[in-house]
Amino acid sequence: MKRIYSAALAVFLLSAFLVSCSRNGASEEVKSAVPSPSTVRMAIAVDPDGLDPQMSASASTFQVTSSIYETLVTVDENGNIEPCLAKSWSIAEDGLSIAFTLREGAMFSDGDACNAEAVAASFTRLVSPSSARSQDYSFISSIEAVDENTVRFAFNSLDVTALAKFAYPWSAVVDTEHDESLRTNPVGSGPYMLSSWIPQQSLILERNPYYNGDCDIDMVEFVIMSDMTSAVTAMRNEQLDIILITGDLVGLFEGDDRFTIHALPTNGLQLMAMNNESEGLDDIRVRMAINHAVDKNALIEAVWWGYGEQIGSHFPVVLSEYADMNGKYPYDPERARELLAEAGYGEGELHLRMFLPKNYQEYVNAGQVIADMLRNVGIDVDIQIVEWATWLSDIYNGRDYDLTVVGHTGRLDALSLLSRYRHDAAENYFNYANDEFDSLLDAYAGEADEMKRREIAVRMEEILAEEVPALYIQDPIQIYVTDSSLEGFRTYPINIFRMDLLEYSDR
Amino acid sequence: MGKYIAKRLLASLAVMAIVSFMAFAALELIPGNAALIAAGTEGSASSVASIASGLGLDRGFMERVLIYYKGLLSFDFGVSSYFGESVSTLIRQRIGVTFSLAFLSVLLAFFVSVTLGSAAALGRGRFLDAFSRSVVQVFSSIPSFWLSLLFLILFSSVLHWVNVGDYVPPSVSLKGYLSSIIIPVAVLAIGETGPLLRLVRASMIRARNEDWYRIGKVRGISRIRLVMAYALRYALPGPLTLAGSELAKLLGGTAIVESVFALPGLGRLFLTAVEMRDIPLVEGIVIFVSFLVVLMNLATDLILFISNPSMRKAGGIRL
Repeated sequence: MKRIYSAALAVFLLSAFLVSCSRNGASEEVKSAVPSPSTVRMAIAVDPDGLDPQMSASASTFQVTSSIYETLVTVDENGNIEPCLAKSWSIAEDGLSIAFTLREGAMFSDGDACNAEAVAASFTRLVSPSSARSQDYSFISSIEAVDENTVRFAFNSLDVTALAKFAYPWSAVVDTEHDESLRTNPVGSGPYMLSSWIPQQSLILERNPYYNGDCDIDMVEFVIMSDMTSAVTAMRNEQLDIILITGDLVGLFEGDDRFTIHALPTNGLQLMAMNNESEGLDDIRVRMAINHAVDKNALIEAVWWGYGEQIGSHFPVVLSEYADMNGKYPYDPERARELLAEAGYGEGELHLRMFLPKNYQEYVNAGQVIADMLRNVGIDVDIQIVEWATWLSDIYNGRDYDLTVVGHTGRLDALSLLSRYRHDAAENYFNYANDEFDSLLDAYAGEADEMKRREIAVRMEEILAEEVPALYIQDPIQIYVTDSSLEGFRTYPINIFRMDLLEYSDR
Repeated sequence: MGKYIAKRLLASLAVMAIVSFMAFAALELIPGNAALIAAGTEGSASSVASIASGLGLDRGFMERVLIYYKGLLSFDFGVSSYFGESVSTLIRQRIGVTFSLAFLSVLLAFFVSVTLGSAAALGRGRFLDAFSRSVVQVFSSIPSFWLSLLFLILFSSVLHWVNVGDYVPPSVSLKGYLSSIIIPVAVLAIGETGPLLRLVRASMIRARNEDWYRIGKVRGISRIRLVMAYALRYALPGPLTLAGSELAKLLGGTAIVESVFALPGLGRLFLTAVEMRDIPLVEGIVIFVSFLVVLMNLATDLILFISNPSMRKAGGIRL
């Protein structure tokens, strides 16, 4: 008997040794949990997929990289373009080139100068054929460092939305000297630099010693918490300063003066896409019937606890070109049945397959509520829940589906946002085709007059609202809870956080 | 003895080769790949192609497998396509958490089961027996994700005894380490205690019915001595084997508890790796965990041999 215990003890000691050995490498990187007065701790659900902004399309990446790197220009909370790395810019009269004047003395976090030459090198990397973004920036024909602080971009054709393309986080200026290692060792000119990153645990940023702009917060700690209950618990124990919550949890923070709740519409939209080439859905009357059959108010109430702005077209309410397209197809199950009958589908005769992405519980919930409403008007809906990777491969890229619920992040202008409806666009998973719409997209790109451009945008919104290639549900309202002494927290129409604008009032 | 261990370890190489190839094949057959995920719904078709070629996904299946195995020969596990970090670093950062959870919970469950199970067997039909069979069974039937949530709310939100998601390695602070993992360890241990306790109780009851136990009793050997020196030795091989296989199971199966308590462990990493179709990371974890499982089974067998002379002879292995 003694031997069993001594053997067990030996194994235990050995394993304790192994455990401490294996942690040794990481232990220096782990900061103590005691917050310094100017640390901001924020929960995020998933890790960034590497910290090279030019090589990613994921919101979780940009939320972090926007503090490490700078873009030439940035946006305020209403989407207006503001200076960032470039303190000013001038657009040529023909609109075919832009010259940016950089902030003097900007430096990367390794001490290298972030001058016109470095900016040009970064954009050369962004537009090169091996870059993931080469197509988005193919309108750039040449990049030239004119002098130490001026860089000029020339364009192939007139694109009135060109300036905004220098604000998106993936156009951030990176130090190309560190080309290969940026994913794990980012080097940018932003207010912060990477201190440590242990995937699925935490990502810590500290001040970039060479940053010459204003900034109050010394350290930013992103804590990766995939479970919202854990994040809420930690927030209520004051272990965190910023978290994102769902509508059902608002009550936990309301009326508690330790917290401030920010509930704001985002630049994004959620919809139920329809495959416009599927049998049945190729008939506009069926798509209209589906729109009549769904009570969007009840849907938003059931799935998002009422936190959402109802929409009638593919356009977020926060953009200046937004026009209200609600009310084209009000909730009317009787009308839906009539339209289905007109299209030749009696009770239970239309069979549709609905695919829902498992990783997004809200879309799964929404799909189930919508399916119920569709069954109510006699449509037979078969729900299949699929993994995200499967969804991307079979549904989004393979277009083998009838209905699916998903969300899109917004852009700053109608052209970038609506290009996915062009009949031959690779992103047109709706299989939507409308010649007038395609020519409006072209007209928008070439229209210098802002008022006329808005008219074109509104017309495009109207076409989508009438032809309903999808059921447009809502512009989601995101609910952030912050420590009430933290000031300056805002949300932006692109996936960025401005940690440099935060400060504590009474700590 | 040394020969036996060498033989077992060599066999584990074959196991790892087969398992890792099966993982490759499975990832090839299921839809989606890392490039599609990186491009998401906001990237363009050309970005998918350039990301895919950057990750080497444009090569044929067998070519990719061979390149991977070639790297393995020099212990190069590759770079995670999702995190961009080297696979061996990612595993090294996490093994401590998963090992702590699995080992401490099995240890806790084992000692609780042996104590409670022996006592229950000796006082068969009395209060302790009824208690252990009902209460422990009820608790270990609760799914671990739900029990985790209950414990999380109770110990963190209500009682404020522990913090969530603040894993502290033992090399930084032993106290912080224990307080950061004690609740998840308890959750896992409760799940393990159910079957272990039943097995200990059954074996002990069997021991009590053996002739030698009665003879010992008649000869006046004290009950404590009879249980500690004879009955336990007779009863333990079964529970020990079970504990060993539970430990092996937990090394790859703590994902849910790790997710709920926001602990950076291997299980949670593996879930993410599969979801993100991160082939190098999936392969790295599969190979590593299957090696650990082989090692655990070997260790269990050795402990059994050491503790039981008759098995040592029956197994025909000289120690």
